[in-house]
Amino acid sequence: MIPTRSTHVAAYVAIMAVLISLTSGCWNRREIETLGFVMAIGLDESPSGRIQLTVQFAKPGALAGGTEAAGRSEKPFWVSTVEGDTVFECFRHLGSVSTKRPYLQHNRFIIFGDELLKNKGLMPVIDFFNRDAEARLASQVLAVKGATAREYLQAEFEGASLPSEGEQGMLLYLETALGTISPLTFRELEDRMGSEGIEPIAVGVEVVPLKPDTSIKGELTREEVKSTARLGGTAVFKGDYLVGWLDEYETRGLNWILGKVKSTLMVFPQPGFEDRLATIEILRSTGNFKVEVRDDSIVASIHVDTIGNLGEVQEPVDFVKQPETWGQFEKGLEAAIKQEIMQTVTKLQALGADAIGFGQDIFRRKPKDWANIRGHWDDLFPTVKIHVQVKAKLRTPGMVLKSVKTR
Amino acid sequence: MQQIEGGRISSFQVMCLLFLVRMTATTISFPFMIGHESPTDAWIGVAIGVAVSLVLLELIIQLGMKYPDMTIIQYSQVVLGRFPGKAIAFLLIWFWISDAALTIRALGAAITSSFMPETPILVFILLTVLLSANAARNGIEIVGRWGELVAIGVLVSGLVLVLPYRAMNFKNLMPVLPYGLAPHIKGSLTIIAFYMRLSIAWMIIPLAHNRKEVLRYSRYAVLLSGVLILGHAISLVTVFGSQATALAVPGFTLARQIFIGQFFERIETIPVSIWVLNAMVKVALDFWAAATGLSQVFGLQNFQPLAYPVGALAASFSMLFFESLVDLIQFTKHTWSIYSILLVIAIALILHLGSIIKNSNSRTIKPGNGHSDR
Repeated sequence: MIPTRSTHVAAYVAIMAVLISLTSGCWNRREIETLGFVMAIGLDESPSGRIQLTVQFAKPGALAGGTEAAGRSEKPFWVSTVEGDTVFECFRHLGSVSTKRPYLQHNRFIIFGDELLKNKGLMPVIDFFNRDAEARLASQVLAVKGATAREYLQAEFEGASLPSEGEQGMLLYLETALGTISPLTFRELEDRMGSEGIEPIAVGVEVVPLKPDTSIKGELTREEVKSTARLGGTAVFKGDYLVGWLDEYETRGLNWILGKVKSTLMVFPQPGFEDRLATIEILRSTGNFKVEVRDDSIVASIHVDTIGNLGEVQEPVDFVKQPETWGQFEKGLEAAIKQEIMQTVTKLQALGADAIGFGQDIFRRKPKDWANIRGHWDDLFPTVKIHVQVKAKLRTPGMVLKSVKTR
Repeated sequence: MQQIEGGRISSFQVMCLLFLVRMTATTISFPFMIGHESPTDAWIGVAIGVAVSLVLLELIIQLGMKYPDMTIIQYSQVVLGRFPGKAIAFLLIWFWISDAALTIRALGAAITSSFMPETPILVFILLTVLLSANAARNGIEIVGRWGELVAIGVLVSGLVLVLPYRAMNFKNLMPVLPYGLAPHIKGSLTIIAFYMRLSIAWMIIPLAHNRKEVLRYSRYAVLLSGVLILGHAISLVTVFGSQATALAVPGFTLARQIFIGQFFERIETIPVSIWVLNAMVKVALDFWAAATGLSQVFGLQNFQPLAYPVGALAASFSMLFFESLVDLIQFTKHTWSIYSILLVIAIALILHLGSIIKNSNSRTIKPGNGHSDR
């Protein structure tokens, strides 16, 4: 067919018609007014044994109020709870209680309740977050000790209008200044679940109820603040079930081994005085471990190197007259760290959960040995012998060489 | 022989096109990594695959260099005679169309499973086909220039492999060889299979300006893409650890792990759009090769009217061949890998043999070969 003017016009009209229908917007468009920005997701076992989903939405309107009083009286977030048989179903059930459709791209936390982790395990609830295109694998994972995720998501924090901002701040502060949590993302949790010879962990949180008469001055002046929360400790899993908790010091023990202590304080008996304490500020540390499989036993050698400053003493010291005390402080610090590490390993061996990754280390360095022992690693892990070597260096005694003394 | 494509491209553009042709199977979908049995040292499989592909590349490119003025559609008929030659031409045209269908479907599946799950896959397939067929219709020069631009973009998108540095754990690369070499040999087959797509050079070589350079540049294309594939395999394992082999769309998911500071997040759309363009150039080249090939087989004056029909064919194949993403991955990993290696290597060997026999015969009749380089 020879193209004529009329066929050109017809083709032009056809192309325009297609373009008009295509450029009107995306197929999957969602208007921002219809979306609820999810900041945190909580998962629990409901009283009837089903899955209970609690979602914390941000309320951008209340946040936009700024410093003026208008924003103060309104909570900048709200929490919706629904029940269902699967996680995805719960999200759709939110429609029956929530005015906005959950939008997961900004989610920061995935929080699991105690009961859910003990009774159902992680398996039945985590798949959705992998499979869904909207969920983010970089969300932090928290486990609530002795409470439900729903109760936890009602908690509010001073100094942060959005609870998730507050949690983020605490996580960062704790991780970099005390090392009593071992934060990990959802992706890392899953890596631990799927890897050979290592068990998952999660950051532990507790709900702290406020007394009814507590008056909160500061940024939050509302009266309905009922609870806040504290972070610290670690939930230890075996497979995908929660089997126990490490307390804050045991968590730091874990961090020493994994080399994840950034800065912290070590408090131990001051050399020469049994009932007085010395405090050392740790500046840097490295930690690693090597597991050797021998004929009769498995030995894990843990090596920690650390540098610190003397932060505080309770009994006067004088490094000018008695420089040898300096070495005693270093020895005391080494012993304190070593004890913390031993306590952690003992606890984990009692729980039977290899949260450190001794098995993984064997798999990585001696895959042939691992092939032989992986079947009975659960029996072998509690029998692993520990050899801890700590090298501590103190840099400066602070601004004074000599303490104030009473006369 | 008459050339229906009047365009000319540089050797550098040939390299860019060959590079892009290989990269789609890493950026859009990464069948090599999906379900790999020994992910921690998967890079070994990539290295083996790239090394073998470099050798096979000689076989492919040298064949094209024997008849530098003709496309494979033309010289297969010269070497083997009219009917066997046409049979090979049809096999190759079929290969390009079905390969385009595979790429389009993989692209659509990747977008629908990670960005726009509610949009029908047909929308992405049709848009890709329309754009690519239009480029193909405009000839190899347009595709070549487009490829040059996109190839630079794809190289820059290699940053995706480094930017999730905060999520990387290099200990994940241990152990090396926990399950022996067998999974790597198996894995390298997938790598080699996708390098067989470089056989599209059989259509481009006669159009290159300085043909002596083509072999060198195609080696660069293999090495360059090899380095990027290696990077993808390593980066995925360091970031995802034991989950690296579980991802349906590894490249896209990797790009999502980029966080720069606390505020610069969700920039995955930038690399992903470059990768989508990458797939489009590859599909355009497939369409161009199929359209040109068809017009040469049938002795048409012009390949342009065939570009859209070829695109329509590929679009419908992409919808008809595969039921789902699972189906697509099974087919790519287990059927297509073997099929493409067998097809390309068999054709290359047959034509090499044929040309050797023909040359030794013709030498007895009349010395001197008519097909010299210009």
